[in-house]
Amino acid sequence: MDWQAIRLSLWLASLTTAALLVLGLPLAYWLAFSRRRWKFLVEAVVAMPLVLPPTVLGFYLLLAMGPRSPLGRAWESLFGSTLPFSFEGLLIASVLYSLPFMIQPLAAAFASVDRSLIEASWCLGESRARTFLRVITPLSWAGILTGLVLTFAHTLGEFGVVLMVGGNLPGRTRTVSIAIYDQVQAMDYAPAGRTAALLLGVSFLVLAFTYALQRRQRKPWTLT
Amino acid sequence: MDTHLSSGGPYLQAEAERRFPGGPTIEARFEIPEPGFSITVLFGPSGSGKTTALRLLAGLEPVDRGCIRVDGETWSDARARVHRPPQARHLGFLSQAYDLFPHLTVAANLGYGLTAPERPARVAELIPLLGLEGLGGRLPGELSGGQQQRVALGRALARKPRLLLLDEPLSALDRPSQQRLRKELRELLRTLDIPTVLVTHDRAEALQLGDRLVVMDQGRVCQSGDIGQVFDRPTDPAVARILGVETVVLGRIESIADGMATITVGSAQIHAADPGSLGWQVFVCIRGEDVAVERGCGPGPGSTVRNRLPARITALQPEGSLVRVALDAGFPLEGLVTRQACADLRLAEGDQVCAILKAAAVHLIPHD
Repeated sequence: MDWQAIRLSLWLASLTTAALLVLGLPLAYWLAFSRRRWKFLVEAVVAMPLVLPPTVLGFYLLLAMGPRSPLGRAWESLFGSTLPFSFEGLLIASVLYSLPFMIQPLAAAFASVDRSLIEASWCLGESRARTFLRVITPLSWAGILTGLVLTFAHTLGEFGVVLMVGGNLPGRTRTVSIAIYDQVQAMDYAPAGRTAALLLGVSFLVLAFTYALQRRQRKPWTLT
Repeated sequence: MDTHLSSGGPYLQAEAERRFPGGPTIEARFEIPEPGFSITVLFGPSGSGKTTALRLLAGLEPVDRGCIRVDGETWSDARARVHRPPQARHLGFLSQAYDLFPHLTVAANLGYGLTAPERPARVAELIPLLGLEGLGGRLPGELSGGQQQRVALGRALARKPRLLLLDEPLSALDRPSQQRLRKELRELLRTLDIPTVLVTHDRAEALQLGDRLVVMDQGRVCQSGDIGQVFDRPTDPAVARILGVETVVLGRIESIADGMATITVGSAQIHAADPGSLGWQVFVCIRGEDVAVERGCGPGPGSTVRNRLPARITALQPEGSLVRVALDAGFPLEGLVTRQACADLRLAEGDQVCAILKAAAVHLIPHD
């Protein structure tokens, strides 16, 4: 088995999940409670990775990160390296690609918190931000957990975007799914089978664990 | 010096409207003249806009027209685009569903709105005040309805609010608890000296708890004023219909013996069944269909009727197959009789008659 690829995938999935949690909490809050008319546009953008082929997303990301784009130039002048085919570029792509897997469970959980509990908190003098921390977040833990697990599992298994943006550089952008692909291409079925079985087992265990926890809370939950 | 007078005007003044696009317009239009304890009841049928009026006061709904001022401060003003958020109004709000935080213990719910340093002492003070001893560590889901109600009330009172807003605070409880808690609630609020606005559709609750009554119908305030006066003299038939009982008058208990109370009402004395736990003041409620009218007021030896009151007919008003008879029996009394009976007795305005009331049909509501 390609332990280097497994370590890289785990590290990438952890960082993606952490970044999406920080990004996702405020964005999901806005999606759940904003009354802006154009909110549906943001919702559509967030859900895009669900329907777009990874190659399309990867293609645009490559363009956006390239040395001729503003982002690419800014990155190069700041860090002295280019984004495409680097771990950092891969991380940015992963965050975007897994966006709906974090945002949708979070937003659904926030929206299902009883509005009158939120108002009760306001009437007791707590600001919107503190109400979010003290009431909305603790009552949404099942949704937050689902978002974390789905993001982690989805990042672990992504292939198309990695191939487009990251390429196949061992130790830098070569993830588990790429490693399996390589091994199969090289007719190296035994290690490919072992790695695939590992991914299958981990994914199943993580999802089973999440559903079991949600069952305990007896709260109906739908995955989108 | 009286700070409320120096600020000029009543303690609370609401002249506010909320317009729902394509829906009704709801208004909150009343005053609380003085600071300190008093209960203003927003009363009306369901859908009359009482809860929305309360939410306007809380700042949970924007004011589309008019303004709300409390204690010399502007809380909402549509023209000046002032909207003080609920957080900055320092009020206590108790909703119908209580809205206890399900993930927090009783003690944490009670102390939710307090700062960390003041929390332990204040919570320790509230728990015995509300009769919640030994329940501080429980979650709301483990409490009975009555206990939840007390936690929610305590949480609203914890910050010593400048205004307490109660939306049907007792409606989720069973009848016997409601009657017991009304008395306790009024005593508690009097002790804490907090001006209170209470929403209810329950007439007995309004009569027992209220000092002032604001009658609402279809989003509008139809009448407001001292509670006895509003029940005594509804300005129009619509208000009378909402109030629902033809006769509601304040009376004084003279004596109670063998389960029967003797009450002085106006210049008359009537007898009624004693519902228990009466103070010295009561509202006497009589439904029109329970009043009968006879010629001549003899002692009626062969009758079980306890109340035979000499009365004068002040007005007769036909209503379909019935006639509404307004009587002066030492207090204003209204009866409903059939058109036929009215014709047979040849009843006319100014006639001296006898108003007959079974003691069991006289409903007493304590009001102390």
